[in-house]
Amino acid sequence: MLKLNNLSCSFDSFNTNFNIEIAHTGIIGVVGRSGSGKSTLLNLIAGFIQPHSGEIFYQNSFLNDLEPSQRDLSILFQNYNNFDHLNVFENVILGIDPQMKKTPSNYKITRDILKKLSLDIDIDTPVNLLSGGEQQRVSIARCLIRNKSMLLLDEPFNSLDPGLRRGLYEDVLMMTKKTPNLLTLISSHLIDELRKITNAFIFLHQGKIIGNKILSFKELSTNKFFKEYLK
Amino acid sequence: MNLKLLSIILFLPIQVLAKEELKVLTYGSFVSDWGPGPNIEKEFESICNCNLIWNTAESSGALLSRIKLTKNNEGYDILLGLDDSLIKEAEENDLFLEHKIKDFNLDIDWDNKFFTPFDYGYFSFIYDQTKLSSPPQSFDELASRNDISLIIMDPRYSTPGLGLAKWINQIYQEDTVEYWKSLQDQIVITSKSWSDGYGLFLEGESDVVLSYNTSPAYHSLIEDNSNYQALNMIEGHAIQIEVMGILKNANNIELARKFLEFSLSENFQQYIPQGNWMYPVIDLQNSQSDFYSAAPKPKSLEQIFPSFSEKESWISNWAASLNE
Amino acid sequence: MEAYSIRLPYILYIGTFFFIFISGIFFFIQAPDNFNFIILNYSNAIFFTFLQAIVATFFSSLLGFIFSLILYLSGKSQRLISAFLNFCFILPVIFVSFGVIFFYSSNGVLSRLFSLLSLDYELKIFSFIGIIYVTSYFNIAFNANFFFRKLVNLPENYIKLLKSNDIPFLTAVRLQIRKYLFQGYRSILILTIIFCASNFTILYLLSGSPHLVTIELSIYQSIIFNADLYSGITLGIIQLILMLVLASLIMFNQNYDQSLNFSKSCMRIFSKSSFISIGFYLILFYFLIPFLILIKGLFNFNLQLVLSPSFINSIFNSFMISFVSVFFAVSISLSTLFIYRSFLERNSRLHKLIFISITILLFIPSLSLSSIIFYLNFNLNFILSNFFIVSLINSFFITPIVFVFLSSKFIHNYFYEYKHCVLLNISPMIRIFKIDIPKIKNELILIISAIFVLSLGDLTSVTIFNDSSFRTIPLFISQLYNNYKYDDAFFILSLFIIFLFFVMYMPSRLLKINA
Repeated sequence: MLKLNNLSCSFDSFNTNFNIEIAHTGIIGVVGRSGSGKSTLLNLIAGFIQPHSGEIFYQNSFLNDLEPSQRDLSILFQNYNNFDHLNVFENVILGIDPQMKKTPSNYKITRDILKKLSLDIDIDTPVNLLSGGEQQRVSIARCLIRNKSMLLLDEPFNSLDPGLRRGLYEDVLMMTKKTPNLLTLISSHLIDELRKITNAFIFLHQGKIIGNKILSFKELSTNKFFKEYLK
Repeated sequence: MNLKLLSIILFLPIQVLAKEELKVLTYGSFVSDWGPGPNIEKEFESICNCNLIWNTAESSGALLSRIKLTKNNEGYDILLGLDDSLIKEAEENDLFLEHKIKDFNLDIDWDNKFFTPFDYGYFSFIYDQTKLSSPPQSFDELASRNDISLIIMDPRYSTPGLGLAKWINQIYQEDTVEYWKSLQDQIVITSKSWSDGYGLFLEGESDVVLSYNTSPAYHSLIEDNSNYQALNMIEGHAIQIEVMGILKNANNIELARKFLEFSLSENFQQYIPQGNWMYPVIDLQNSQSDFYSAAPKPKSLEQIFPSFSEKESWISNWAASLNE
Repeated sequence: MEAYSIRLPYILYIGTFFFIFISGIFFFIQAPDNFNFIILNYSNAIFFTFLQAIVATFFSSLLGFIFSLILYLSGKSQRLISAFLNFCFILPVIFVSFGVIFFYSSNGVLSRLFSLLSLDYELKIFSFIGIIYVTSYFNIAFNANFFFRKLVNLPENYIKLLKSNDIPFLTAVRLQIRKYLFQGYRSILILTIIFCASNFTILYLLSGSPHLVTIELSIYQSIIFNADLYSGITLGIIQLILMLVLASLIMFNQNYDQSLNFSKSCMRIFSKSSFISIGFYLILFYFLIPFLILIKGLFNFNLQLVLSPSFINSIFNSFMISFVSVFFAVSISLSTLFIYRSFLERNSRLHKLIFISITILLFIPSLSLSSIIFYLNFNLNFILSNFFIVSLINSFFITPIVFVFLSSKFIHNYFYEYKHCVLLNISPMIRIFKIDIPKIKNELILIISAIFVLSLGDLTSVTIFNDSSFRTIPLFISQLYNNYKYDDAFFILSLFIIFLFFVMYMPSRLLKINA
């Protein structure tokens, strides 16, 4: 379970205050206008932003004092999820071996995970030579091998074309199905595409979670802020 | 066996065999492969059973400055190549020991308890007689000849430059500044060192260059080229005597004295004419007749040894002429 | 612990810098009562320093810009052009100076040509013109390379826009893309002014008049001939202050991306105009003028000289100084970049202080720094060898070049990389050796080659610390030249230049670097 109690931070004139309890696993879409706090929410959970007040609990652990690497989660961003000058193997194996040792077991792990994601590429290929979709799959592969129970995706596919995005959303869906206890929070402003993989949403408006709970699309549709957002 | 005794026995031969070192600070061209230094080193080391170590400063003009700056903390025994115009300044700075050498048997008049001379020359202007058919014969004529371009050295940084300042001062006295002004238009380059200036002259950058009257001897004896000649000024030529002295905190004073004595002997002096292209301080007319024929001595002005302030006044007179 | 060991070179550098700085102040406090610095005595030097710097900068910027356009429009190999301009920028000053003298002096190639054509030859190279010419040579290459890289990296859609709207390229340069071309130019301008103001060797070789003296030359003369360290340091402080004021007026902008993308599509502009072709060959000829002494030099092969102990000693000293200088400079730069980036990651403004602490070295005249170190060494009874001092001074002056060159790539994507490294628990040591250095590998190899060459060819600080047992190749060549051994000087110079060429380009060829 993920619990946020009055989790707040502020910069410039933007203030947030997040309250929610997420008991289930699976995919949850985080939606809202630009500047509503989607990235801030994910970065707070990941530990890259320190809250001014409030608490984060995950699976009964108090996360506030934990470093990002100590939290049971992985995170991907819209861009720059790989080290461009490293190759596929190095980018993937970084997830479990920061030294990127070229051992047979590491090679096997890498090949296996890429196979799972239907990524048929030479693992010595420099990542910057891959297409956008392949690069994001490589970063997903790294997340998968880390075997964490929470995955945060901060608008990871927005810069890709619709066909590629569809494919990557399917990968996320596949991942969730194969990892029963995986909680995935995926933020995007492309709600129609998110609806294809989930019916659970967190809607943010001006730094707050509307309803302080997960809402279905139907429930969201009745909310006046959401209606304005859809316009 | 006692360890102490063993170490003494083992190291004693090394101590006995270790040679004394004599460190000499001089200017670069003296110890270059084509200068007199290497031969002098061999000669001296064969008689002293020591190692002669040369170190060089930027130029002769920089030698005294280096010692003044470092107070000889670098540990030199001898400074070789000081210009006679700097002797008084060196004495005023209390940097040298008395050499205690008596009985000079020299070709020049010499009487100084701190320094011994090792060569001398006369400042002159060198020209190419194939390009300048009617050379001037006096300073007044030189200044009036606007067709003649001139390279001189900077009196602040170069001993020939300082020598020219002395020379002009000796001739013109109160009218020195006026004379310098009359010469400025013809000076195309004021180089930082004699070698820079002379090289530029050889490259055709001027008609005439400040140098020594012995310079043509190098061209005629080594290059078999007698085109270069020295101007013969009716006023006379200023003399430059190069000296050496033992530094106050020398490590090896006795050896240094030995070297000074050696420098007044034929074994040292024989390498001066066709090594340093200056006159030796002892009479070597018999053994060095080629050199003396190629470099006849001009009329000499009186030798003077200025104080620091006198030297500065020569330089100020030159500097004053630049401000026009 | 790991983070501290990476920071150590920077900490040592800062410690040394402050130690030298405090020593300088202490030294000043102890100035004798009769020390009387009259700034008016040096007014000519101060004035001339900035006059020649500004004039040279003007020509360097203007001609650099024009040359870059012509080179770009010529359509010739971009990689070769950029490499050639790089090489011209880092050539030893002594080589270019002698090359220019060889071509333009009264007995030079041009004069003989004029003589053949029965024309009078009036040009005097040992003059203001000569100084400006040689100073501008390097800086034209520097500026031209900046603008050329900008042109090569023109976004493809710009070119498409120009072509589809039938806008002539030169018109576009004037109207549409000028802002893009001059983006980041301020830092280049400042660097150009610094290089022009602190060109000691050029003044040393080409100044033919007591009027043509700069602050650096005055510092040299104070120390070497007047035994006046105090004046030397005072002059250095004056130059430092004036340069900082000038730089602050122009303002430093460090966002200059050095990367060069040659793998762009064939979409580019070139011109078939004969004016451009002629211009290209004239530019090539201009930059190749100093290389004419290679022809003379290589025909005067002197094996005895090559095998002489003094030459071998010079090579050994030059190499050792360069290796040590490069090692210091790269260690300090990488350490500083690490700290600089860590402040950026933490959103701390201290990164600006770090930046200034390194780049300030560019403004300090090397001779002033040399004189303070000389004073320190003298007080410590000369415990530091000349070799170590010269290496240290050299490294101080190449470190900011390395830092500025690498910074852009090093901090590229720092924000996201930092997050990934934190999340993946990648330690600082692993990050720097396994991620950062591979990231900047190409640039590192290029800059190491360049600073090694720069260091080998430097004549500045060795002029104070040289003696017969400690000589470097540039000094050896200079002394050959001063003793009229012109053929030998040109021969050694030719060998030296050929060697530098290999040092500059072989590493990148061997490692098949694209940039």
